[in-house]
Amino acid sequence: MRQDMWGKAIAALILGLVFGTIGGAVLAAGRPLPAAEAFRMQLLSVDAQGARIGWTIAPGYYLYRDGFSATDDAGAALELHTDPGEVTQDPGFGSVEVYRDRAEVLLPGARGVVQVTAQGCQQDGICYPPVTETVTLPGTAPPEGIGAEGALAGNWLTVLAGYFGLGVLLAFTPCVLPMLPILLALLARQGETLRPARGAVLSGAYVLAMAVAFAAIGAVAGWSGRNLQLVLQSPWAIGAMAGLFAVLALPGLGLFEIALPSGLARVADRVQGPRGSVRGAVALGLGAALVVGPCLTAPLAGALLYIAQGGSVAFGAAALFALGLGQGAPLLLAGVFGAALLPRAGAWMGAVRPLVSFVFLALAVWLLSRVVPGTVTAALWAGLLLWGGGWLIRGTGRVRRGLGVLALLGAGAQVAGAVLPGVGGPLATATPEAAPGFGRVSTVDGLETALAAARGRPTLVYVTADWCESCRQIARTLWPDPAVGAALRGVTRIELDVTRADAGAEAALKRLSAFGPPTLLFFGPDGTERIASRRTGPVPVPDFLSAARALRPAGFAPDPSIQGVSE
Amino acid sequence: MIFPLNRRALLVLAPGGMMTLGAAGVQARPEAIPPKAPGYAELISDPAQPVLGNPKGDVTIVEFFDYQCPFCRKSYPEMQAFVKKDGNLRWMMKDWPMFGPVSDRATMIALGAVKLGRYAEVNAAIMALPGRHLSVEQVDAAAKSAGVEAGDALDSFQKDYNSWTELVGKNIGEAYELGLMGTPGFVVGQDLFNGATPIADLSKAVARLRRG
Repeated sequence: MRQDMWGKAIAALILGLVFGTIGGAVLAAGRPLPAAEAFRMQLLSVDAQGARIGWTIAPGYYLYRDGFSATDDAGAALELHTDPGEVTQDPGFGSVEVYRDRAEVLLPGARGVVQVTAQGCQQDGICYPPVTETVTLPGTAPPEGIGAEGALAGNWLTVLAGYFGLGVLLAFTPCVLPMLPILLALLARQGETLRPARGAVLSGAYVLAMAVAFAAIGAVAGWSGRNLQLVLQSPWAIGAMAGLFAVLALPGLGLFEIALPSGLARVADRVQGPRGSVRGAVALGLGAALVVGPCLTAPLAGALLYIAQGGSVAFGAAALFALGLGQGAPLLLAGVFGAALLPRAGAWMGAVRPLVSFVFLALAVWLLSRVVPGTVTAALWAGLLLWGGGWLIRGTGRVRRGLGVLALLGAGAQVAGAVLPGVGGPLATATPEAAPGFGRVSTVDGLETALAAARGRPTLVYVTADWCESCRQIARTLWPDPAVGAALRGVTRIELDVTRADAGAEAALKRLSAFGPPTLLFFGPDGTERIASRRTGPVPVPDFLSAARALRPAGFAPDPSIQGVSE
Repeated sequence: MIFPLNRRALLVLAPGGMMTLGAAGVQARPEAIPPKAPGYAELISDPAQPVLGNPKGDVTIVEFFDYQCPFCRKSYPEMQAFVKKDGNLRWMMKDWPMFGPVSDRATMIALGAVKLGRYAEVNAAIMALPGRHLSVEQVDAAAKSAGVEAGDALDSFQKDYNSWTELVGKNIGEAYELGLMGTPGFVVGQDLFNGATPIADLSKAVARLRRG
């Protein structure tokens, strides 16, 4: 009797749950599940056959068999296998092959990071836009050939050679060019005893020190996961380096007829040693890492990606060492041949010391411009030009006096630019405003808020900094381009400004897993980054446009010449 | 024996049923336009967006759709009949192409037909095609049956490429901001419908809006 009652009660409970669930399902049809809940993706296995990725499909929902696709890190389509699904014959719509409850795809040979896309509908309810998710396949090496920045997967010799070549190319970018006057100043100080052999030794020490500094940056970053680039661009580091250049400039200032305190002069002499010494070359080479730090984002990102994916720290560092050697190779040539070409002695010797000072001071101002307001930079340039111009004009010779007048005029223009709003002196650098159409954030909280507000819209995040040379190139070439403007129409643009290189900036970079400026990240309206479209370093317009295609299907940029896929 | 529902069983049954009902019943149709989304007035005011039905009608039904979305196509004849019978409705079909290149092409041809004066005809012809998957040939043939060569429509689209892609991009942005999860999606006044929606529900929303 008791037993019977319990039996009835349990039956009633089951009945209640069943009716309740049916009623619930009817009402729930009022609002479909979000796509991410209707179709839950998971990585099932990775083995010799390839990677298996599965979806758990909510009851009442289905995925189309022909709705799957996958791409690798570089956006190239991956081979994909699916099993036959359930074929339904709809009188009005013909045959459709779908999966219910669960679906599985096999990606043979997929490695590293892949993006998988699925598309489906709610039965008799709604069809979702394609859902794309990112999967990292554990235990697989990154795919080969993901561009210069990720080229660490191949044969080690090829890789090192590749980084060396990249370095040579980098040597001719605006951000590395200041290395040349530093070296020439170093050689010029050697004076009349400069021989090609001595030039080779000095520039060799300089280049080696620079390469070692690069390797150290890579190794520290690999071990600690911290991006030293930011540390190196902090006002303290920049201030210290600018200070060093200023001190190095001091001895030459005697010719400006300014009495130096003897203590300072001694410090300067000790740093640079008697006549361009190897010690001075090494110091300048190490400091050079700071000067060119902002150009390192792309290669550094590549090396760190390699280390993060299980590669050895030592090899990552070696790659950056090769990069430094590559950057230094043209300098080494300049050192050897420059030494051979310079006249032995003569009137030019008198002009060398002030010239060296001028170059060092200009470098100091240039470095400071990364961390001080534009008006201060303009004032410093004006002061420097005034000084140099004054010295030149007091000399003899038409050329020299002409140059002096030019310098003084330049100083006047700098002052005018700093005073008159909106003019900007010829040497003005920092751009205080965000790029056109961009909302600027500089902290992780600001970034989160901006990303949350941007949800539902395609979004571009642009990591930049005032001290980033490649970013200026982007500002000149990318944003004014009409095709780029068209591709960005309706796209929320967020500028992450890491100029201050503080903890907030570092946290924001970490949030994006970005290494530093310039980095461009594309987010779909679902708030997921389209990683295949991520770009680091200076980006040419065509490459940007192809990356921006990932903003589809949020935007609409169809190619009318495309014939489509006939079924 | 008939299953006796005694009090004890009811005690168990009631919470079980209510729990499941309660959990699912929170979101009943229709939903309301989210506060941050573009308002109804903004949704229906873009002069670039072609309108079906009575362009001077007093109420606008906004539908977000894809030419290959099965539920959009299934409801199309009913919608046509409803709009025609009412006689005072603007029917704004906002393109949200999401089924790949063929959907893109259908959108391009239909919008390209606007300046050729045959948008309504082309739109109806493509929506009336059989089959879930459309082919390029089917879409082109449908346009032709509506009196428009696909090539001419594409040329026309190409001439106003920027404004058309901006319009469609804006539509898609609106759909996401409204919280629409896919196609079809409807907006009538403050009422928002995610997914296939019975004509009766839309009709009620229209009546509510007319009552003010």
